[in-house]
Amino acid sequence: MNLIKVNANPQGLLLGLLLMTPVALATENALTTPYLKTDSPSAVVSLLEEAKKHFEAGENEQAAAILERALRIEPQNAVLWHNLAGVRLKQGEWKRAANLADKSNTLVGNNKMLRVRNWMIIAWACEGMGDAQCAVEARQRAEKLLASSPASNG
Amino acid sequence: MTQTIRKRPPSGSRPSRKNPTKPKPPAPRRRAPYFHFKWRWLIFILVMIPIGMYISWLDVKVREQFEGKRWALPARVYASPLEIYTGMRLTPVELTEELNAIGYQKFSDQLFEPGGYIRQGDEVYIVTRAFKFWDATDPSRMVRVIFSKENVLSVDELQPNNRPIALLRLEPRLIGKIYPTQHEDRILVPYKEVPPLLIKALIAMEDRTFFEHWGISFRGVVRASVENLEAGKVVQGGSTLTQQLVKNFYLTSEKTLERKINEALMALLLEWHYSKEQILEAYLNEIFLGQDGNNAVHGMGMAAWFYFNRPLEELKLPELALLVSLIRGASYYDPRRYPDRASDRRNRVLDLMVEQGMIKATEADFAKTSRLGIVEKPSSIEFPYPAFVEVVRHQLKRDYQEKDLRSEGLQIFTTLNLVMQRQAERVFLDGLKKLQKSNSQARRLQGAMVVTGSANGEIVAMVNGKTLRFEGFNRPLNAKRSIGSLIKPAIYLTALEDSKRYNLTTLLDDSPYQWKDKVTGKIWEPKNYDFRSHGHLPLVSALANSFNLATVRLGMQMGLEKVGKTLKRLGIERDFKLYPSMLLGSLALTPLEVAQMYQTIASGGFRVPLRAIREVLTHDGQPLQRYPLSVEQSFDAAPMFLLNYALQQVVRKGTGRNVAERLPEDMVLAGKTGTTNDYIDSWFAGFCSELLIVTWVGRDDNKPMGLTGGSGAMVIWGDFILAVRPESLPPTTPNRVEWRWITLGNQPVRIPFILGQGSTMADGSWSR
Repeated sequence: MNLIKVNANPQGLLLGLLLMTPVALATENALTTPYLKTDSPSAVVSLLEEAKKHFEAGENEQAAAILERALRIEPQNAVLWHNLAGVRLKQGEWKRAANLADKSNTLVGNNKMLRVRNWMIIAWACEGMGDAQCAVEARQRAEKLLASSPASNG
Repeated sequence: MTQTIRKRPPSGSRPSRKNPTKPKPPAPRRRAPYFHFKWRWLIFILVMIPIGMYISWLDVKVREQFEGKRWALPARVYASPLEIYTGMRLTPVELTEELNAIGYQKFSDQLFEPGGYIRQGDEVYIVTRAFKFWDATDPSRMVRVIFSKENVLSVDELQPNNRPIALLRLEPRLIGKIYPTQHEDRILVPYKEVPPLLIKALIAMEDRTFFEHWGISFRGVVRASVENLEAGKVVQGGSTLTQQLVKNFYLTSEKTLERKINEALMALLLEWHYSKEQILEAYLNEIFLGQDGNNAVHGMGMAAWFYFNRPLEELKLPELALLVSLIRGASYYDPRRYPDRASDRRNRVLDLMVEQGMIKATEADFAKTSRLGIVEKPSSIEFPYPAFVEVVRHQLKRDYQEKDLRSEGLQIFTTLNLVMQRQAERVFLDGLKKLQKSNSQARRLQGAMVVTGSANGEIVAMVNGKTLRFEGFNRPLNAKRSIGSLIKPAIYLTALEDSKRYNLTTLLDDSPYQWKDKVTGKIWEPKNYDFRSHGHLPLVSALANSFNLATVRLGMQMGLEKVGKTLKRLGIERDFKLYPSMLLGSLALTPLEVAQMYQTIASGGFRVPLRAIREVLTHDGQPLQRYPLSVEQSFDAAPMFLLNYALQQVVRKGTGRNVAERLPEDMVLAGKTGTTNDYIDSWFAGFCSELLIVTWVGRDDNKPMGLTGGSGAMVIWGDFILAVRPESLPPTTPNRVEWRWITLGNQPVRIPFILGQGSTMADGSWSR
């Protein structure tokens, strides 16, 4: 996941975002858990997989609907908020995407890579809105986080 | 003219024979003997032109109506579907309650068809119905749900595959309709979904040559006359199904020759243009089959729900025969009022089917022995949540025109969680009774309750007063009441945002306070609830104990304007004036507005618009609109986290401590009590990681009722928490926040601070 660079292609990364999620969820679950229930992930993971399929097929609103279903089960799951932000970014709903990434960041705990990804979403969303300064700031925060110590996991 | 015609070759007759609407090439003739009868021809032409025009006019009318929108369909409002997964909190009783509500039948031994279930102790077997949702069509399957106490232990599909299911979604319950102005109700059923036995029964009873005739049937008229003569009364009508459809569709019920002719002509035209299947489909969806209060029940799809509380495709022979028997007189043969009459009529349909070789005699005999199976009160038309549906309509009106809501058959999927709603109603009604007993002043109590998802703002339950099922004054939506101390978090949050000056341990001054209005010269002198002042005390304790003097002093220090801005940022959209008395909650809000305000606190500083609607689909299941989850950060996470901590202290140690004694200690709960002058309003707004619950108790006539927020509204809130045991995880500590041990009242406590913030209190010397 160190491949994330300032100029990374948003579409490419976004596909990556959803592709990685069940794994990320599992690792997050293992590492930081206070917010992930141990008894329900199968429902959430299966919804994540379903959302991923729709996302890859370009059915963004469907993917969003499914992620919202998952969030009803695990409202504190930062990965779900992050993915929802990713879907909105792909739809060009910049403001919504940035806000959702903000939300994910408040729940992210120790998962540094997820935090980096959220800042990248915010940076792209700012670019989409034509706010260069905000894009630069968000990008700097992502880079600073990446530089702070070797990335632990995705 | 005569000359010219005479001189023409035989084929020259063509122009005069031309039908104005439908030219047909005539066969060449050898002779033209008619040319002598010129006047006849002229008259014939003169007569045929208007007739032709009339027929073509009828033709246009028939086609326009048949192909254009034929029916106004009511919008249908659905509750949230129950989603079942391993580990969720759900009891077998709650599940079967839900299954009954969506019209599933209980069986004792074997399951075959969709829409049935068996409960054996902690195991429930269900054959689900297929349902088309926004994101997917869930198929019908046989499943097993195993419970362990109050949780789901496993969910497995048994058929068609044998495998565990991650998430099982049942179809949602219909909870309301927005009826067309002509008060008709129907569910469209496409021809291919009509049970073949229904068509057989219909043909046997109403028009046995339907598939052979061209719209009118002389044989049918003759046979009907013979049968009526034999029976000595009218037992069979002579008109074909097509004629009946024309009559219902296009014509009034007057009995004139003119209408009879029109009916015949239009029937022929219909048959000319459309297939037998199309005509049958229209007929089955149009036919009047009963009356439900103000609304007429039209079509077999709706009638199946109205009489059997099940979809048409699940009905069996005796039920289908009953529906057909209603065609000739839905009120005369009303199975609810005249079961014997209805049973005789149904059996007559069955006999006719045997007579015409459509079913075997043994099948008919078996069907005749079965009960009518009519549901007492059809649950599809009894809508128990009028207050919530009104909120839905309120939100819909922003995006849809009234006429579309009434005619387009929109399917509206809402956020109402029925398991939660049932609990809320139970707890609320019991709670009001309990409160009336607890306090002699507490008479004629009313109240309201709003439950939302802490993170997504979905309204999952809503209670409107004691009379739940009646439409009337909608308290959650419209009861504007002073919010009292519910306003205080806004003042403390304003201070905590100024993290250089304020933290949770900052000492506040709770000494007497006076404010003089410069214009009127009036003096405002607020008092504490216990009429005492408490000297200097930490900010967290002042909020936890809801001390008025400390709060007013803090608010005046921050400035009314700034506090006003915080209120707006928290989500209060109503305009209000800035007075010092506002700091103690003179502001009046509805329970839904309070929920909106506390939603921002519950979600960690994100504005989340309250939503009652998730999706809108067209009548045939095409996605139309979603109301997506949107959040917007309006407060930094760090001061919000500190406020959240202080509100947890309200519940555990402050004004909420009496109720909190009954609540499990490991639950992380935060909230605020609100009491207004003379005990007129009792409020509690409290939340955990899963739910936000706002309760209000008071009287509709604004008279005192003797309860504080803690002794009234919060009691109901606590009962609800105990009943549903929501998820209550601690909020995530933001990056900028660190926990420090300090001594408060001789006790070491861990308190969150925003980084770089020092405790202004040297050693925690304050004690109560």
